[in-house]
Amino acid sequence: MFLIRWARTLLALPFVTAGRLAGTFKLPAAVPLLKIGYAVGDNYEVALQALSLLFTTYGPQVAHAQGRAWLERRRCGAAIAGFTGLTALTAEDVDEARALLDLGRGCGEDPTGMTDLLAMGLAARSGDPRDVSNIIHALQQRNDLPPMLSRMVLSERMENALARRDFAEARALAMRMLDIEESPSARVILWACERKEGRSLTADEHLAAAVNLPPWHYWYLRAEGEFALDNPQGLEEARRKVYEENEKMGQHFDRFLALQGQTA
Amino acid sequence: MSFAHVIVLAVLLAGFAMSLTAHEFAHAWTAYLLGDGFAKRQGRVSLNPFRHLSLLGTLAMFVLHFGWAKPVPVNLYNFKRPRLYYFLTSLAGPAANLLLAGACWGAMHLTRRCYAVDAPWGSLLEAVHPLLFLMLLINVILAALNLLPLPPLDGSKIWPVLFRSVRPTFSGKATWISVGLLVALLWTDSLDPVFNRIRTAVHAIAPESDADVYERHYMAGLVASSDGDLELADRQLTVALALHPRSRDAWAMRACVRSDRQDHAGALADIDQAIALDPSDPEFHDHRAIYLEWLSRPDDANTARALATALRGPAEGPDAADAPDEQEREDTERP
Repeated sequence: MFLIRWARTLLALPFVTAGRLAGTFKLPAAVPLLKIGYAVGDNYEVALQALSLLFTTYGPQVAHAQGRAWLERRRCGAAIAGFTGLTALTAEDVDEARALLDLGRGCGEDPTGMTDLLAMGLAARSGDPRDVSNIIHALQQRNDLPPMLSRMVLSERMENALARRDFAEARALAMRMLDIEESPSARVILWACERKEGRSLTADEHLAAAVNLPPWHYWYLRAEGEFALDNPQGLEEARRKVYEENEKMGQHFDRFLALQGQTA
Repeated sequence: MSFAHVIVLAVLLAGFAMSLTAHEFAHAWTAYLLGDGFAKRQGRVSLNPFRHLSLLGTLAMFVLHFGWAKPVPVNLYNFKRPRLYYFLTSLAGPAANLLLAGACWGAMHLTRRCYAVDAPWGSLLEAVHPLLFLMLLINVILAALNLLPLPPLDGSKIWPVLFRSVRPTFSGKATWISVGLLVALLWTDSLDPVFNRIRTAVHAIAPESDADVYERHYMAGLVASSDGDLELADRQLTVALALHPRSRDAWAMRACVRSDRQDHAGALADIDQAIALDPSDPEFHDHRAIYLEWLSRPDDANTARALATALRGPAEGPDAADAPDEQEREDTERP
């Protein structure tokens, strides 16, 4: 059994190596090479890389179709189910994402944490802050999460602290994130904290470092900051910008305001 | 490729796999102890080599004469003090290799007295000692190479601790470029001077076995003998024999040296020791015959020569056997 697995891995090796290299430099040959690599070697990590490239190159529907096909034709894999669920969620198919979460959880251990990521995504999409709060609380207790999920949990905690106007905690969490990697979200949070302290120069520096954020996200965080700073004028402008960039996120922000007891 | 080469290659591969496994396990275990359980979730807190070895890295051992294992994933967000704990986790791999190197060094100390133990254990110790040296060398090289400041090597993760402006994460492209650079350096043997320096340094600190010391003195005896410095040759061979009194070659060689120094009684005593260790070698009896003649004991010499002839068997006559043997010995062993 073990020898067969190593023989298959050996056969898949040229395709996987070439595919990974091509993927790093965003060459179109990457996906077919990785698909062959997965077909031969049956390594879920290769499948995830292929799906990830399909997602970024051709969009969530194509990645979802490929993930589904693999799940139906080949053996059950929690990581593949989790990733395919995330593609479904991105494509707004919440029911399918939920079904894939159940499928993934039934497949056994998920060493990559994709099912946790999907559960977090589904909670965020539900629109009920209690769902998000519950899952954040549950994930916060764990120490075996993948970096991407830990980053999301920390971001969520940062924004929650800001929404509660707990600037000290928001600053501490943002500084922690920046200690590990550059984060435009953390920069916007720090912008709000510096504004609160009246240090507008430093605040502007943080804001300038946040330009890499997608515009809707940038304005969403700015709007959260203006809300925390009790600046109705700035809040209204940021809210309008969120609507301009992404209407759905604008509605999401309105729900956030409603929950905080404010109307738009 | 001889059987010995196959054994050495197998031990090298196994030693390399063991060293890489210890290295990666140390990363995963340290990360786990410091609060990051992501590597454990991926099954990396394990001493099973197949959890760590990468097929490409294993194949590279045959091509580049160097290999690598799968890197251990670390989630810095799980650490209370990300920079410091990442640094410690990164350092754990080379530290594990240095610990293994230390264990090999200790084991080399235990196995160095190979001639003080009776066969077959003595022979086993003699065979194990150089293999332990190889393991020691592999681990020191692994530790040293990993401290180079190139991603994905562990040395690259030391920067963030030393310089606050450097964050402990690298882009995939930077890592690939660095891997390409490393492969090019290994492929073109550009790192060989570094490896040679390490080998020389390790050689200097590694405990020598009795076999090494014996070999050195025996070879020095041969060289001195061929240079005509018979006194030095006698001294070197005496030291060699003090270490390895069961060496028939050293007894026979010293007999030749002593004979050249006109010490025929000493030569006879030495060749008798060689014969006691290996009575089946006809050449020793031939030499004994010569020394006996020089000592004016023709009857004993004839007996010795007859014994040599008998040992050579019926196919070889005494005339045919003696002359070339004498000549050969003159060519190879005597000045």
